[in-house]
Amino acid sequence: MNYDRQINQYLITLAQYMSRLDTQQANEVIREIESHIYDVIDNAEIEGRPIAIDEVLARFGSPRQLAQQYSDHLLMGTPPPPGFTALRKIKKSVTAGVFYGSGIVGYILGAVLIIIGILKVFMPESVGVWVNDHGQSIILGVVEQAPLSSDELLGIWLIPVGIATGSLITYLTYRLLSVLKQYREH
Amino acid sequence: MEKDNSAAKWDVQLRKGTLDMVILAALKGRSLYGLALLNLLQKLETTAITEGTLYPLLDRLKKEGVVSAQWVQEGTTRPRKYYSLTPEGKAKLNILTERWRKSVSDMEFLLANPGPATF
Repeated sequence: MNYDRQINQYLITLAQYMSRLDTQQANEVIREIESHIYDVIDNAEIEGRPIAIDEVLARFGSPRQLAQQYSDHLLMGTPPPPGFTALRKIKKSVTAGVFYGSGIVGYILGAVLIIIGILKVFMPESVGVWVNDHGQSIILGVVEQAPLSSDELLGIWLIPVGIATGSLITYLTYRLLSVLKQYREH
Repeated sequence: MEKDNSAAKWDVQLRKGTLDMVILAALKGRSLYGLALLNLLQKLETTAITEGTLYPLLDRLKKEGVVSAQWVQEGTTRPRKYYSLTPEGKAKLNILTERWRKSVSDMEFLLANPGPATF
């Protein structure tokens, strides 16, 4: 009996779900599974046993489930955090410059926002965000005197907004570096 | 029925915790391809797993460097991917074996010493 069509359909679907991996890795997995399935069929035919190809394929699980098991450890070791799905498509070529650059920018930006939020508590008149009358420039930071012809944005809300945003950026930078690290190590 | 259910649950839980060791132990001193390894494990009552568990697990162990894999073609048969332990895998198996035996001996001690605590 010819099972090729059913097996091919399974492998094609599996290949689609494996597309997030390197082509070589995906091909290797598919080749091995194909070899296994045909070995099972050959053995059954030699022993004169009937073959339930549905059962053979079911033991692998659905193509989606199977691909998920491979991709979980191939890509991350652990699944990526929500929101970082797009990073799965990054090839394994994250340079040291990108890695450390992302870290420095992210952590400094996060730290600055947190510090400004805290300073606003103690220096409410000198710390803030101002925008000029025409909306052409924004000043963020610590000043001796509030800029002339400017309106202050946020006011006292700069404290929670600065600290929360800074913390979020710091956390996201940490998670980003965790993901990028996987691509530097392998 | 309840007895069977409890035993089945126990097997599942134990298998989850010992799968890495099961694979490493099965590959000790020999190279096996996926189907042969699967058939070996399925002959044993508590180590039977399915293809969907075995292959991703082998792939992970390979990525961890404890097993290596090599395609081999024997005669006119189709190529098969053979797995074997790496030096790191042998070292890991030694550690796991030692801990496994310690667990078994601790459990045996508890089972052999029921009643009020004497230590």
